[in-house]
Amino acid sequence: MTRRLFIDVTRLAIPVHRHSGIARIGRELLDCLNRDTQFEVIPVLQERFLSDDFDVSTSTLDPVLFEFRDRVQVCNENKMGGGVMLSPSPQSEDVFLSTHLPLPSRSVTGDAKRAIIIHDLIHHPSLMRETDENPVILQVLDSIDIASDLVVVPSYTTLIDLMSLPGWESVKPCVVPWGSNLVNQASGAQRAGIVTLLQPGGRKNAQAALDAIEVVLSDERFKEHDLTVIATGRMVRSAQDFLQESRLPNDRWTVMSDITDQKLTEVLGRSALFMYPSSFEGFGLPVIEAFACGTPVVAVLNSSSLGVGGGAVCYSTSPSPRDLGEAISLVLSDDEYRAQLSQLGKIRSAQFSWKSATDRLTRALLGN
Amino acid sequence: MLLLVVCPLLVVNRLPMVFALMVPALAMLTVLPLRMSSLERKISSLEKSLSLQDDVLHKLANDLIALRPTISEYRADFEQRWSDLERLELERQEALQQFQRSMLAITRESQVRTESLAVAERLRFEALARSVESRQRM
Repeated sequence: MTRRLFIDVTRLAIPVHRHSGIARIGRELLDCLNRDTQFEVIPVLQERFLSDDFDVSTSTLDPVLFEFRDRVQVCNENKMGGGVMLSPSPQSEDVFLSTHLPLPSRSVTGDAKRAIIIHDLIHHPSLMRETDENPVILQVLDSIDIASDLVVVPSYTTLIDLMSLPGWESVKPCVVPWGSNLVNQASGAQRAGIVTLLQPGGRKNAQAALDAIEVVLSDERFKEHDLTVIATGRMVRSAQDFLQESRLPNDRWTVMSDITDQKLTEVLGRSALFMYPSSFEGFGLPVIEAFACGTPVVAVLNSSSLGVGGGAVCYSTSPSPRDLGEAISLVLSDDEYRAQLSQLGKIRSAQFSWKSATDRLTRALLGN
Repeated sequence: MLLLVVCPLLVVNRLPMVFALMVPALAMLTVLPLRMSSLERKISSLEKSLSLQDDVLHKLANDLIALRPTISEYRADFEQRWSDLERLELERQEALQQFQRSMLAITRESQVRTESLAVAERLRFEALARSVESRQRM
């Protein structure tokens, strides 16, 4: 008998979040786990997080979610924790996996084994990394039964953060690093240009990154390099705002929005460097994607970047424009260093794939 | 009856012996009723005492019967608490083991990161050295 996997991918049905990294993870898991014959995958959307006018049959869905439109279940739960159980009612051999949002109550998930992904605890008040009036992370933690629910984290950074919360020392975690489906198609042609993300939010260090790139690109040695900014959803506007206000000439930067995996592979494959200026991430998927395309990476040294990037990254010791600029200059000016980083990155990317991530996740969900 | 005893003796003129026998007999006849009366009083007192004790015992027995459900409840409560304590202890041990497993994994990850950082720093240092060398040549 095939087990059923109810997978909460609500973010894929919320237009403003559909292009986020977390939505991407939900999409990949939905797709990969569906190919895993051990589960009959049933996507679930939590109604209380959807807009009032949402309708599965008429609303615009993410392309992958669209493929499942006949199977999607909209889970209805009220604020008192009551709700309508999923149908057919989940049995003890079934699994309910939330890829981001709080787990619904048992009145919805029935007897199913429950699992939830905690990507990071950046918005948790105790970490004080960023303020948020009503952080979802508090609702997520409240929804978990530490004794019985499986908690999936993408990195040891998140695990350590979770274990440092009072009462969470003995959480049963499963560390599942995410992966990349990008395949390096770049020829041996000369690479040029810098690719980066200019995301809003203090920890993303967009302004510092732009200041550093301005200085580097004004150097005569790097005149053949331009800047390409990858942006999705709401980030497109903020990236354009950052660039308009910078001193970079308009002909030396491009913003590419909502690009396909194929286009992303092309862009990364022809670039000399990918810069990831964020100070704190729960994982850092873009680093793995750059590795897969053989693109040397400059990243800020923080616990998650070291765990993901290993020895294959040129680390900037701080997110200051000066340190970031020095790291970029060093990589761009040294062909041998770039070749070493590219080679190490490709080797490292082989350790991260969605296939291995879903295999690991499946084993944990089945209790193996 | 006394005459029946004394007369024959008088007949045989054994008066001293008769008197010798009469004194203790008379004494016995005088003391015996007194002792009997005392004994009867004591028996009566003992009977009263026994009756009281019997009442007390009955009361105790009734109290014990009345307490039986409470004792049973206490016992059930104690067994429940003991069982809860055993379960909590088991959970505590499992939590401790889980914590130790996580810490072991974190320690291993920390070693891996240290080695990774060493590799990254070596490559960066070599690149820096080449950069300095190149500038010196210029």
